[in-house]
Amino acid sequence: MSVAAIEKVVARLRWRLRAQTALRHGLLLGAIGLIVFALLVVLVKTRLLASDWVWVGGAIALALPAIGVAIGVLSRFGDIALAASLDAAGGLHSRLGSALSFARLPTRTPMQEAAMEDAVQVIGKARPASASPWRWGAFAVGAGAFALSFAVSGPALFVFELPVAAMSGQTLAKLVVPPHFKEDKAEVRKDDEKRLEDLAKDLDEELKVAADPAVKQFLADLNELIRALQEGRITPEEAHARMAELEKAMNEWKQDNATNADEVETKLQEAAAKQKKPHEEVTPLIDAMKEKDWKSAAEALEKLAAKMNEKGKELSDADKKKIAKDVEQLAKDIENERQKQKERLEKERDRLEEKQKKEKDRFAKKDKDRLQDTQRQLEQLDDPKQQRAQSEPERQLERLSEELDDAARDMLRRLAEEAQKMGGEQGEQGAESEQRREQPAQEGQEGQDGQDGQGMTSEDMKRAAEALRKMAQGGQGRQQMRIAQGRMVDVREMMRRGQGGKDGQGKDGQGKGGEQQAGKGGQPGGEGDAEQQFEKDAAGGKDGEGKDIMLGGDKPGGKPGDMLLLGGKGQGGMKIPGMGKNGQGGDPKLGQGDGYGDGHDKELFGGEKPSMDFDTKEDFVAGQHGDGPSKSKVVMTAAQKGFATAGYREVHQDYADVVEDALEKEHIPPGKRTYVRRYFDLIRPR
Amino acid sequence: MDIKERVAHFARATGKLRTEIGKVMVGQREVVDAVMMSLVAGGHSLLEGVPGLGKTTLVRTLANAMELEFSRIQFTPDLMPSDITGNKVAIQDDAGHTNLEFQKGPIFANIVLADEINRATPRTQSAMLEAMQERSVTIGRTTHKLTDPFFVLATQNPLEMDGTYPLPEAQLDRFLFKLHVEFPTADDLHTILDRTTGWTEPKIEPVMDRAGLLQLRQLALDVPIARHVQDYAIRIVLATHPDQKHAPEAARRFVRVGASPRGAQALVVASKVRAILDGRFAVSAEDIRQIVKPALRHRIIRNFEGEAEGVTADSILDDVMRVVKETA
Repeated sequence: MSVAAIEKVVARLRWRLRAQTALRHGLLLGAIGLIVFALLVVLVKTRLLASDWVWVGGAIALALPAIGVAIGVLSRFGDIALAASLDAAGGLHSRLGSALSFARLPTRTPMQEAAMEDAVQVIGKARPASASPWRWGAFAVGAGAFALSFAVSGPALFVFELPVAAMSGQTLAKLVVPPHFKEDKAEVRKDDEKRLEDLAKDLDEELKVAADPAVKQFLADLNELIRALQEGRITPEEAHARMAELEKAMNEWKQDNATNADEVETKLQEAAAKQKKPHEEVTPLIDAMKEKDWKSAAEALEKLAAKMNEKGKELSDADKKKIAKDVEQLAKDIENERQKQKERLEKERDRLEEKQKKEKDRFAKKDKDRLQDTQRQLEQLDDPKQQRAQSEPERQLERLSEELDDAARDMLRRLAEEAQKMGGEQGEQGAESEQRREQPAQEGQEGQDGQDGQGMTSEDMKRAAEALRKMAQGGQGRQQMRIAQGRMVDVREMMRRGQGGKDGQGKDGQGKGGEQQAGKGGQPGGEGDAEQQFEKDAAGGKDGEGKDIMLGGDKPGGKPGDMLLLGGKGQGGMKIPGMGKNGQGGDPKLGQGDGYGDGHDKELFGGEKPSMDFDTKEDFVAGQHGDGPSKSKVVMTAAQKGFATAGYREVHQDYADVVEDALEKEHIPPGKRTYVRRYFDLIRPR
Repeated sequence: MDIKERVAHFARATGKLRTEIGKVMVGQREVVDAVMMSLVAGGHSLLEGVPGLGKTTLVRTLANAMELEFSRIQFTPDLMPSDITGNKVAIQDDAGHTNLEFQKGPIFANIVLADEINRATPRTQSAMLEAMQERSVTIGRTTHKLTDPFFVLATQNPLEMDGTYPLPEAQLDRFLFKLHVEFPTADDLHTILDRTTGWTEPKIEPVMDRAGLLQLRQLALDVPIARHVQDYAIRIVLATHPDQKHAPEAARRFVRVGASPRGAQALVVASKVRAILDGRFAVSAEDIRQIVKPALRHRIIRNFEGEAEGVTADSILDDVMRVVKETA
C-alpha cells in the first residue's frame, strides 16, 4: 500500500510552514536590522562614527531579513508531526500519522495495511490550510510597521542634519570610550608637588638610617608610591590600593613590634632603678637603663664583657664576683618585673581558693566566677602557645633576662671553680706537678674548658647586649613608623585634593560628585582656584555643571569667602557676599548635573583604617547549668509564641502513637478508623 | 472474512449489544460504552454513583444480553471470603461415606456483580484480588481456574461512607476503568418513568455469546497503535507523576503517586477497543484522550493537600492533557 498521496499533502504543509516561518523571521530580523541601521545613521550624524558606517548599517539592514528568510526556508519539520497536525486539523483520528508510521515498518499486519488504506481514502479531508493557516493580520501589521518605519525614518534621517559641530577630519573612526572607563592617572595639585618632593627626600634620609628590615621595606614602598604619584604613572585606584596595602603592613608591624613596648621599657627602667650601689663597671649599664637609652646600655654591656676578657688588665676575683652578683641581681629584678602579673594572679587565686575552703557552700557565685577567670588567665600565661604569641619587645625582655642570668651564673661558677682549684694546688703542688708531666693532654683539655667558660660568659653578655640593641632598634622603628604614618596621611590628603580638584572641573552635561575645598587655611586675601574657576563657569552658564565647593577661610583671620549658589542648566551662579565665613559651603544639592559623575568614592578601598591600637578587656561569663524549663512550660511557650520545639517527625510519631492507642481503646466505627489512619499516613513526614 | 469485514462485524455486534442494553438503560451512553469496552478488553470496572442510578440494572442487562453466566454478590460487613470463593463441604454419598467436596462460590461466573464492594471488610475485599488479577481461586492447596471471560463489575456508593472500607490502592489498580454514573437528564427521566411505571417490562434478547465475545477481544487486541500515539499515551502517564519534568502544576502540588505502568497498559488496550468500536483500524490520539479519565482517575493518589483542597483526580488529568501536546 502506497502512502505517496499522504506524503504529498505533508510536503505541501511543510512548504507552507517554511514560508510562514521565513516571513515571520524575515519581518522580525528586518525590523531589527532597520533599527540598527537607524541607530548607526544617528551616530554618524552626531559625528561619533565615520560616514562609512552608514554602509555597514545598510548591509546589516539587508542581511538580517535575508538571514530570517533563510532560517525559514531551511527549517526542518518531521513528516509524522506534520501528518499529526493534519489529522488534528481535519478530525482524521490520527489516520495520516499512523499510516506514515506503519509505512516505515519493514513488515506490517493486515490491520496496519487496512489502517493505511483507510488513511489514503480520507486524504481528501486533509487540509494544509487548516493545519497551518496564514495569520495575515499579524503579518500585515508587522509588514506595515516595517514599511512605515523604513519610509519615514530612513529618508528623514538622511535629510535632516543634527546640530552637531563637524569634527576635524570629519570622523571619529576609533571607538569612543565612555569617560568612566578612561584610564585615569592619579594627580596632585601643583602646590602639593613641592611638598611631595620634600616628603620623598625625607623618606630617602629615613631609609638610610633605618635598621629594622621591615621598617626599611615599608619606607621604601612608601617612597616608591610617592615617586609614582610624582611621575603620574599610577591610577587613583592603584594608589588607593597600595595605600591600603601599606596601612595593612604598618598595622601588622605595629601588632608585632609596638604592642606593650612602653610597658616593657618601663619594666626595664624599674628593674634598673632597684640596683643599689652597683660596681663601678656596671654603673654605666644601669644608668643607661634608667635613662631608657638602650643603645648606650648595649654598648656599656659590651664594654663590660670586653673588660671581663681583657688580658693584662684583668679584674680581681672580688671585682668579678661583685660584677657577677650585680648582673645576677639585675637579671632577677628584670625577671621579677616580668613575673609581676603572674604573681598577682597567683596571689588572687590563692586568696580565692582559701576563701572557697572557708566558706564552702556560702562561696559567692561572683567569687567562683572570678576564681575560674583567674585560673584561666594563669593557664594562658603557662601555655607555650600563648608565650609564642608575645610581642617582639616582650621577647627581647625575656631574652635579656635569661642571658644576663646565664652570664652571671657562668661567671660565679667559674670563680668558684678557680677558687677551689687554687686551694687544691697549694696542698698538692708536688704531686700535681708530677701528674701534669704525666698527663699534659688532660691539662690542656682543662685549660681549654676554662677558656670556654670565660668565652661563654662573654657570649651571654653579648647576646644580652644584642637584645638591648634590638630594643633600641625597635624604638627607632616605632619612631620612624609614627613619622611615616603622618606622611601617609599627608599623601592621602594630597591625592584627595588632586582628585577633588579634577572632579571639580566642570564638563558639559556631566554632574560632578567631587568636593573642592578652596581657600583652605585662610590665606589672607586669597581665594581658592576652584572658586575662581567656578565663578568663571557659573557666569558662562554651562549646562549641568555641578560642584560642591567649600569656600572661605576656615581659620580665624582668613578673608571671609563668598558662598556661591550654583545655577542649573545655563544659569549663572548667585553670589551672596559675606556668606561662607568660617568655612561655610554651598548647598550640595544645588547645581547637580543631569549626567553622571566620573569621580569615585574616596572610601572605595575602605578609606582610612581604624587604628588597631586600643586596649581590650577579656571577660568571663559562666553558663547556667540545669535541666531547663519543664515540658509543660515549653508546650505553653510554643502555644503562645508559636515556635517549634521539636521536629515534625518526632511530633508526628508521638501523635500517631496516641491515635493508635485511642483506636484500640475507644469505640470508633471500623469504617472511620480507616480514615483516621489514612489521614496520619498522608501527613506523615517524608 | 477479511479484516475489514471482521471490523464491520465487530461494529454490528457491539451495535446490537448497545441496542439491547438501551432497551433497559436510558441515557448513560458513555457508561454503557465504557462497560462494553471494559468487557471486550478483558478488564474489570468499578462503577461509582449514588443509589438508584441503574448501576446494578446495567450489569444485569449486560449479562442477559450476552448469554453469559451471571452472579451477584451483595457485599456486607459480615461477608466472609469463603462466601465469595466457595468452600469445602461434607457430603454423604449413597454408600454412607462422607467426603469433602468443593462447592463453588458466586465468583465462578462470567460476569460478577460486586455490589457495594466497599461495605465488605478488607479481608473479604482481598479475596477478590486473586480472582481479578490471576483469574483463579485458591482454596486450601487447590487452585481453581475461573472461566473465561471473567468480568467483575463492582459498584460503590460515594456518599454513605459510614461502615465502609475504602478500597486500597492495590485493589483499585486492578480495575481497568473507574466510571462515574451521573444523574440522568430530565428527558431521560421521562423515558425511565414511562418504561418502568407500567405493567410491561422490556425483554432482553441475547445477542452475543461467549465465543463471539472472545473473537471480538482477539480482534480488538490486534488493533495497531502508531509510535507517536503510543508516545502521547506514555507522556500523559508520566506527566501524572509529580517528580517528572513535564508534570503540570496541579500534579506537582497535589499528587503523591502518579499512574502506574498498569495504567499505561489500560490506556492503550481500552483505546484499541474504542478505535475498533468506532470502526477504525488504528488507535488515535483522540481515543487516548477519551480514555484517560476512566482509565487513570483511580490510579492517581493525591497527597494530603490535594485531598484537603478537594482537588479531584479528573481536574488533575484535565491539567495533564492541557499540558501534554499530541506531538512532542
